[in-house]
Amino acid sequence: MDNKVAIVGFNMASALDLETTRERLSFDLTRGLFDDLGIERDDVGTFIICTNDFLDGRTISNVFLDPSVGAYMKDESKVEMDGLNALTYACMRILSGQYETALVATLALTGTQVSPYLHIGYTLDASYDRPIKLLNELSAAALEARSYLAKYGYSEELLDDIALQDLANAARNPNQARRLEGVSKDQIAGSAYLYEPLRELHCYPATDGGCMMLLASEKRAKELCDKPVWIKGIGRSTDNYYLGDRDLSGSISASQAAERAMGMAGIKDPRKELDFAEISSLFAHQEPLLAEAMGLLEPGKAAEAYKSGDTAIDGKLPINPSGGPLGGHPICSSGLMRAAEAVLQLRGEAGKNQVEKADVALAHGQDGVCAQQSVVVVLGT
Amino acid sequence: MEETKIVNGAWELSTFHFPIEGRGLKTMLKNMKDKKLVGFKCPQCGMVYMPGPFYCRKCFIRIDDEAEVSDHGEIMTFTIGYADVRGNPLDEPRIAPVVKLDGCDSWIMGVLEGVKPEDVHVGMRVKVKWAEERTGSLQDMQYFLPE
Amino acid sequence: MEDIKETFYHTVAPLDFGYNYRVGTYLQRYIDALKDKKILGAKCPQCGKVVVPPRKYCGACNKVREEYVELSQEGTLENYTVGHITLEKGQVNQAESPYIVGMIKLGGADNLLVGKVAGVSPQEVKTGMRLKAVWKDQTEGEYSDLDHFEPV
Repeated sequence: MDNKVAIVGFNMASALDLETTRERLSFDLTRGLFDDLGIERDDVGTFIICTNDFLDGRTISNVFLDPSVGAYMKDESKVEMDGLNALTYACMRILSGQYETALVATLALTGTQVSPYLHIGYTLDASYDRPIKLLNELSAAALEARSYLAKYGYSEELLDDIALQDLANAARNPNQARRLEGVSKDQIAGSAYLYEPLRELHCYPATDGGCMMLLASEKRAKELCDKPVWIKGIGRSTDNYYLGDRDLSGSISASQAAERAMGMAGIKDPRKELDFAEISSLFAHQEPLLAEAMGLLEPGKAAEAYKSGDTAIDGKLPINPSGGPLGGHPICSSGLMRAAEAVLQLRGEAGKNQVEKADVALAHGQDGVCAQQSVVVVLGT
Repeated sequence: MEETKIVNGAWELSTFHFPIEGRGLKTMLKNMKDKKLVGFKCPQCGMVYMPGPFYCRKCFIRIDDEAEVSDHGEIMTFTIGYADVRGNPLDEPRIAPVVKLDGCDSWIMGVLEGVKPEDVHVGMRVKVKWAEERTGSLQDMQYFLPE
Repeated sequence: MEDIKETFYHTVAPLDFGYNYRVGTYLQRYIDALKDKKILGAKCPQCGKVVVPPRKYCGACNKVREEYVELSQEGTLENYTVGHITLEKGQVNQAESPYIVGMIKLGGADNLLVGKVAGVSPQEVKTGMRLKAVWKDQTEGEYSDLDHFEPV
């Protein structure tokens, strides 16, 4: 996909408690983005709102959020699930030729107003999986973790190494919610077990957050900003729901989504051609699991890769230089935030988290139990 | 089709708490004690909303300029209810008008008393009947009466 | 500048939805078999794979599974996790004592069944162990008739 649609700007906020309401958060972020870009709401062609009705506590939640994202009396549509799905939809609208600009608006107040675990909890099949009372987001993730660790004989220590890298990166990143200054491996290994092998610091924190992003067509992008970041490829895939039918040590959805996105972007050797990746790994083990599935890490070599710093900010293929979702995970915004962090990198504006060479990147988002659905976006300058 | 076992898949969400913007509502309630109705006005387009939101949705800017609104207005639309929300018949028909108070651009819902259902019409002038004892709550505006 | 939080109203929204689901023909057969202390799976006519609990559609082949298959009471523990917390209605609480959630490959099935594993300590449980189903004495035609799995 040639340079047809670009990301021209974004505004995001993420904290364990943002002390705000849905209306105020969406207004503040959108108003801030418009001010940065020097535009008004009339300059935006279409709006895609991506929040989860269930987590917002009301159905058709987008009609309440329309005015506060500037969509009053404007063309607006809605996508639930991960924010990268909304980015996909906005991109498609621009490619149709009907719109020059699209605002993607995502948010969730899952840090303070509703428990994020309810999202997966009530995804579970009510006729069997819920009544047996054994499955929930954390136990499913733990089963996935053990399956992955057992596949190559990795030890639980790998989880500590991964979490340490992510949490240390997050501590450096002012955009993150959970910033543990001076976090140590002992602190992580000493945090309480939730479902073995996952400990508290291997898992994402309940977070309030939102991310608004403006996409523009080729013509408008060059007018709106100096450094547009082009969407080179998008891919999506959804796996089987039933946990017992899936091979939890890998991710078919991430593999296929990445293949499709990279195919569209013309990338044949991800490890050589990508400069870094921002992955929605909600639990420590998901980072190498998804990275391996997408062809970013050699299968079976994750433990070595983390020990030798291949995935660190100054490594061969940095993964989650922003810290990833272990630093903050507002449910619908998460994937879009990965894209936003990638945009910062590609513009050379990532401060202490900046990777040296940043021209082509991959951003990944997920939804469903154990990344049942994956969305992958390839971005480039 | 055979009948199979039924399981409960209820979503038990009673742990849901919702902060909502209150400044406009609190301003309105505070003034109702003094039989005044106060909304917010957008300095750019001049729209007056009550209760006042913290931003103007047309201009997309923050607003908090207070503007007083009359307690007299006109009926824009109405409906007459003969049953309550559960379908139980009411003793008296309940007239629910939507009123545009003079000076205000947003419309307010209420209950209309003192007039027979067949005499209500769109465009009819009404006024607020204030409660004798006002405490700064929505009940201070008891109902509407014909002007 | 006033404290923003002072302007917020906090409402507690009592949102309890009562959804009731019919379990459907296939799960009903499974539950009926549990009453007789039997475990049933269903087989796809095209790929031949057997799933437990039985389900009507084979997604991969887009076919209806017509055949029910009685599965062995024994199987291998392919995956497990030890729970130290409980997660109910989105709230995390300490569990009274650690418990084991397992994924078991029963003889005759092609997928894994999620079940509780007991009769072995969390320190000693390992993948590859042979387990057998343990039933309630008085079965009632409920999912709980199949109480747990324990080492053979």
